[in-house]
Amino acid sequence: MPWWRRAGNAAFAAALLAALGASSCAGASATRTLLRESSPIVRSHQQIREELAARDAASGLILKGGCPVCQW
Amino acid sequence: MVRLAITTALFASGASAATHDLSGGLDLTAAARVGVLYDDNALLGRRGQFLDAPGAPRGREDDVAAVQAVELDLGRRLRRSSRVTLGSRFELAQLRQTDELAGYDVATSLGLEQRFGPGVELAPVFGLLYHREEPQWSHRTLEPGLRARYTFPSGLMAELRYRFTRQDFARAADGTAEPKNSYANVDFRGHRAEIDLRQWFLHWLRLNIASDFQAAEYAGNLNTNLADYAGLDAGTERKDVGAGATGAVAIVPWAPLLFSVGSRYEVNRSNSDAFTFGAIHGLASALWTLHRGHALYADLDYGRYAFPDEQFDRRFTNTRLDWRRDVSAVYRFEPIEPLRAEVAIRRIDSVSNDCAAFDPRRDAFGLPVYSRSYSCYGRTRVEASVRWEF
Repeated sequence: MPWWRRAGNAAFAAALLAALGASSCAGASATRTLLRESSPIVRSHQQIREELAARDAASGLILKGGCPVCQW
Repeated sequence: MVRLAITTALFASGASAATHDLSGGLDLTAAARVGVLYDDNALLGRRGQFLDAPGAPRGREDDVAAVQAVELDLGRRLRRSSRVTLGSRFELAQLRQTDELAGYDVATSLGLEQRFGPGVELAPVFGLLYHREEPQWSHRTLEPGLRARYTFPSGLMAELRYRFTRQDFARAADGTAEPKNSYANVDFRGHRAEIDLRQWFLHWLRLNIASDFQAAEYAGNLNTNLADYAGLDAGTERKDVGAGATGAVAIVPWAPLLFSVGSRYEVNRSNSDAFTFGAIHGLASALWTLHRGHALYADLDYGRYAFPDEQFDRRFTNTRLDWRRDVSAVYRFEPIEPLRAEVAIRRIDSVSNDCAAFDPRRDAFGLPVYSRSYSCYGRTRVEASVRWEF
């Protein structure tokens, strides 16, 4: 078997193992999800997105439902 | 047409803050924000969509505005698991040249946050907004909404959001609504529901799938141009039903960096062919938090809108097709906790096969012969601001 096929198989097996590991951990991950969502990075990402949307709505750039192409 | 964005250097002045710390589970936050806004196409979308109509866009006009805002948020804890909130905001934008946009916004919202356990939350909110500027654009908006969140034991987080919007524009003294040349300023009623599913598969990988549904009705006070364009009789209400689906993957390769890529498909069905469309978007965003309160954010939305029934030029069978690009970037600096300085840039571009540049022929007045709608445009906004909060 050529080296690239062996490497491909190994990578695939590693990815499969990682996916299995992730799914097996998922059963106890509600708390972990909440922690991830409250991490400073995720929260500031969300906050900036919401603030930009609110500011654009207030300035009249995006009107009613965020679809300018439907409005003018 | 796509045009190079030309931005100017901006400055921002200081801010003031008021703070009160009240006992008995009551908290009060006051914030003031001042800034300077540069807009290179300030009247985009504000004079109707028809190039040959009275009051149609005169062309690109740039302007600078001083923006002042005051925010006041009051929160009261009722029990351990519930909290009532009252928020209000006043924002005034003073433009140097564009009289049409001189005005202010007053908004207030009353909400309740009820927690039933970790990750289970119900939050109804009732919002009111009053926007005052030129009589035909002044309006009030009433917006009750509901947000519910549930986190499954598997880690799947589900969020349901619903809001109803009712927007009423100012009327003449006798109570009648005058004919308008844009749907942006006729009375509007709309429902919007969103379902958002999020799952962290790995500690650095999140999958987000969201769908949304909306229904909207617009009043029938259309002038002749708008009625012709929409294919509706004056007095007929426009009714839209739409849905969308978004899929995105967020990746946190290392602690200070988050980026996400995704795609969105949306459809809108209407009793007007001009507002029946399907669109597909490519989405990307990134957030990079640097040392000592510096953060950099970028966002990209590139969309293709197809209007399958809008045969805008009767000589040909092709229908309207738009390409829209929306790019924004924000740099944020928080030197101390209550103070935040920010520079935000946003650029939107739209190109279409239905715009003034599509056919070079002009009528006796120099206006386009076939293309009627204002579908090719660009706009750059740059805002620098300082916000002080307690």
